[in-house]
Amino acid sequence: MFKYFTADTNDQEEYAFANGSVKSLEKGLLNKDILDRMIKSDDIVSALKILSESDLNDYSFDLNNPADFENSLNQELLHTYDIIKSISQVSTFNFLYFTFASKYDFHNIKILIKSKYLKKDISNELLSPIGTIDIEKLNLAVKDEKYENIPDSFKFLIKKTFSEYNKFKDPEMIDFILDKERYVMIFNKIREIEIIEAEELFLKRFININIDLNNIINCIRAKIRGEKKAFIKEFLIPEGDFKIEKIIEIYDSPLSSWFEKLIHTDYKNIVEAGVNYFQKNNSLMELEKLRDNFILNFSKIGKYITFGIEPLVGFVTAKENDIKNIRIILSGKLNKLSPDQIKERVRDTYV
Amino acid sequence: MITQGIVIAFLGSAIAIGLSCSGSGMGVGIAGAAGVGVMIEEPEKFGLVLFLQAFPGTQGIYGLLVGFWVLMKTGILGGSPIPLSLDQGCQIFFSCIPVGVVGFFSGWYQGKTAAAAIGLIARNPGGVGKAIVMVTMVETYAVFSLLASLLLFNAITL
Repeated sequence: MFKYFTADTNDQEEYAFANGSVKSLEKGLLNKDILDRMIKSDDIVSALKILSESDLNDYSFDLNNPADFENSLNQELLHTYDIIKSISQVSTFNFLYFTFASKYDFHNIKILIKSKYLKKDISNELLSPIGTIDIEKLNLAVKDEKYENIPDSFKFLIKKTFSEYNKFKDPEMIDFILDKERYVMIFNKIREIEIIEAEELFLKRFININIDLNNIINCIRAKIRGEKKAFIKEFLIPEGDFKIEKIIEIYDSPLSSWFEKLIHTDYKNIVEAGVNYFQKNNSLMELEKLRDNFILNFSKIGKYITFGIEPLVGFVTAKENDIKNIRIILSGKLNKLSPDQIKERVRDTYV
Repeated sequence: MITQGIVIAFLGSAIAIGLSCSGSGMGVGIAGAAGVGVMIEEPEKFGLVLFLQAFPGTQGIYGLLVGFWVLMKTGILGGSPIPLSLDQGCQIFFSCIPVGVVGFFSGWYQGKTAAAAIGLIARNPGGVGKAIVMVTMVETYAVFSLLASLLLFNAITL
């Protein structure tokens, strides 16, 4: 009883502080109204003006050079991650920071390894400064195989990717291998932290949803590429709620009938609509959009919880989603897409 | 003369003050942590945050009131304690329980509600009225417990 009591009160104070910060940061999230006005605007400059002149002071853009919006978006995301890092004092929050920020480490590793094998020089703009490891240190590890400055888990991972790549000699394999390894690393970390049962359930479900959708979409991609069943077995991530045996079982049936086998899962509608769109338009855009919306809607539970990890998960997911939406709208404006074409691509909003 | 009754009355006073102040301390701490989190981004909300943070502090005041009243009425504060019987001491002890125990839990839980209310005003400053009503609902039970302790203590013949 005493142990429960002290643990509970200590965590509440940590959570109260972090969640107080998150609630005030949530004010800077985009709402549907602003997005709609941006979509309907005449060009990229007016879209940027709508964003800059709204009550949200989070974004600042150089209106003289609107095409350079990527830099501003990266700065905003970097700022968000800096705040998250500064409020992540408890081990659970630290873990959350790692879960979200490590995505950018993996993104950087993918780009660095591909540039090494394809012998192409890459500009620094492609690399993200948000990850947990400095880009220069990763560069040294990947290009010169000097691993002194990076954690052992990443050293192991890079070496494993090298050896797997040498087996298949296919650059797309790098994505498959690293996507799987990222979740393996997260699951190894989750065992190291102290976490209460209710939060563990939320966190595991959040990660499992990501894994399931990742598995399903990777399988659809592999199927489109015409890969054999043996190939996907290698790269499916086993920890998800939707067992990989079931995915393997349906792999040989036609893509258009996959949703029938997913009827008892939450992913039936996503696969049905996503595959339909693919068959009409030869693009996985709708599937990716439905995946993002599903994850965002799951994390909306964070809006209603005061003490816990849910608001932090919700906020980071929402912020990344906002930045993705802004990027879609601005690139659409830059490429002269119609408002309807842009609207089709834009994700739901958290607020 | 220090009788067994006086010792038990001491204990009652200590419980009234100690428990209710602990509850208030925890509540104010939780609300304060949420407030500091909000003020990182919005330091101009200091006034509203302080107002909401102060709410769970009232339980400590109620406990202190009852505790001091016990010490005064029994003459302990004046240096010449009334020689209370064991029965009288126990009556005083039990009259202190409501404000102590309820003060502890209501202070703690009011702190949680205040932290949630601070989260609400961080996102929507217009919701301050509703936030205060929610926090005040917890206060009701602290006031009931103060009233119960005072009525019980008043019924004791010294």
